[in-house]
Amino acid sequence: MAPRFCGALVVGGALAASPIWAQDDPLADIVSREGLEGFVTVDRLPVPEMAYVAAGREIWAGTCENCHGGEKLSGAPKITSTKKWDKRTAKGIDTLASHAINGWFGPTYAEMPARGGNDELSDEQVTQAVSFMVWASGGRETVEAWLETNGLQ
Amino acid sequence: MKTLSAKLKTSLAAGTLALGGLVAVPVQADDMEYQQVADLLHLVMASDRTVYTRMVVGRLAAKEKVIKASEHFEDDKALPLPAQMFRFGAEMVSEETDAFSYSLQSLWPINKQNAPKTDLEIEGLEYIAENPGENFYGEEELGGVEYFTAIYPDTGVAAPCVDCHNDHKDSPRDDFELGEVMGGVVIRIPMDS
Repeated sequence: MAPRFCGALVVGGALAASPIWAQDDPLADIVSREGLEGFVTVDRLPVPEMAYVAAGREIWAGTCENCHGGEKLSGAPKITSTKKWDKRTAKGIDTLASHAINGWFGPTYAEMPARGGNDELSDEQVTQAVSFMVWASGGRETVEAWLETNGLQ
Repeated sequence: MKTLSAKLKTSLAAGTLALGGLVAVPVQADDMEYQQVADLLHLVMASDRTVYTRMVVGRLAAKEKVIKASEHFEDDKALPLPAQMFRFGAEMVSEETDAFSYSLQSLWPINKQNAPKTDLEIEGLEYIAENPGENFYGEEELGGVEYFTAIYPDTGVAAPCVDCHNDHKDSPRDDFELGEVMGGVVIRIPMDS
């Protein structure tokens, strides 16, 4: 009865990919080592429950998506990819926000332009966008802890 | 006996694989598809251009500010722009072989000579502009020869690129945003008969 056996494996694989505890997690099917396949547009990303981070989602769509959606040549780390974001997230939200606000050159001289090249964004708006990117790239706990520390929950 | 194009496919693949250090595809790739050859060619082109943009222009002009990059690099004693470096490479290739060619084109070119000329080029440039992150592939007959044509998005990856196109007196557009598709790399390979 090979077909039944194969079917059981398929079901088992599906369960393993989406454990019960993760079914209510809006990021469960979003975040992974390589991130979502293809270019990531904002409509593929969930809306965070925290207002501060949700505001960052809107800013991300307007200014950050072009590069951080997966434009490789820009050198911008792709949203949803823990491979790209874990080391950056470990630096903390304050450091990442400072880089995004003031501009930053990475170790291979890939440039993060100040405010993503959008001078109309305030420091807070840039920080909101950073918090959303970290949240959607495996750093949910980091963002939640930072929000609590700063009284922004 | 292999045709010129078949030889091209094999030799290009071998050379590109050796340059890129890739191991996923065997070097003995007699059956390599045109699309794969074009993709690998583009990988080398894009990587070299990105390295120049970051390690030379980004480092010396944007970060350390010891020299500028300028469209008029000879008069200004400056670095050539990354797009100019790319075109110089394309010109050198065209002098060496007609087995493949490549160019940088745009629907909004500063230099009108870089506007698309064939229907497929126009279709492809429109497609990549409307579909971020995607490439375009097609076949077209030009002068009695069938070509495989691949078009890859060329985005404004640094602020100076975007600012120059927005501010240039000959640019048809002034509203490019960072990371937006500003044109495309067109690679054309004559196909086997």
